[in-house]
Amino acid sequence: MEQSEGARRTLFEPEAQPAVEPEPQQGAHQTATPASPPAVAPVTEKLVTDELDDDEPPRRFNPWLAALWVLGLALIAAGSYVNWLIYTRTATGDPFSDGEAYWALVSVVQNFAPWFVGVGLAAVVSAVLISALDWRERHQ
Amino acid sequence: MIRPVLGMFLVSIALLVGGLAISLWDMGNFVGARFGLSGLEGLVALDSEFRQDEAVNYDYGYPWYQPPLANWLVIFGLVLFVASIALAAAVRRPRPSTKRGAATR
Repeated sequence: MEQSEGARRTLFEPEAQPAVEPEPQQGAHQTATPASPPAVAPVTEKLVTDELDDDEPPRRFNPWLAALWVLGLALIAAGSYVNWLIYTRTATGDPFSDGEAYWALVSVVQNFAPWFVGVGLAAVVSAVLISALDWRERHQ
Repeated sequence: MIRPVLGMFLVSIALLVGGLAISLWDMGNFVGARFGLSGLEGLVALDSEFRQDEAVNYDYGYPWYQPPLANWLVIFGLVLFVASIALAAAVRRPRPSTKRGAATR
C-alpha cells in the first residue's frame, strides 16, 4: 500500500514547480495539508506558455473589417445588377412596358447605380489595404 | 468606434436620410399635383395610381426626376458611410495602460 501511494505521487507530481506557490494561511496550523492542488494546473500552464511562445501573435476578429467587406461586395452586386437591368431593358426597346419599372424608379436607380459600383470598389480596395497593413504589422 | 469616426458615421446617416426624404417629398408633390392631392397623399398613392397610370410616365409633359440636391446628398452620404466604416476598421482603440506601461511613462 505504501509503495503504491508513493508510486501514485510520483506519477501525478509535476516535474517543474509551479511559478506561484500557495501562500501559507495566517493563523492556520502549519501541519501539512493532505490535499495538494490538483495536478491539472501545471499542465494548463504549460499549454498557455506554449501558445504565447508562438511567433505569430493571435489574430483578433475585426467586425468593422467584416462589415466593410460585406458592404463593398453588396454595393458592387447591387450596382452591377441595376446597370445590367437598365441595359437589358433599354436594349429590348421598351423599358417601361410591364408597369413594374416605371420611370421614377428607373430614374432614381439609374442615378445611383454607377456610384454604388464605384463606392463598393473603393470599399473592397480599402478592406484589402487594411488587411494587408494588419498582416504586415503582425509579421514584423 | 472612436468619437470622430462615430460623428462621421452619424453625419453620413443624416445625409442619406435627408436625401431620401427630399426625394420622397418631391415625388409626392409631383404625383399629388397630377391627381389633385396633397404631397403626402400623392406619396401614398405612389404605389397604386401613379404606378399603373402610364399617362404620368409618358404624357405628363415631363417625367419626374430626382432633385439634384437629394441626389448629391445621398451620394455624399454613401461615400461618407463607407469611409466611416473603413476608418472604424483601420483605427484601433488605445489599449488600457498596464502597470508596467504606466511605470515606464
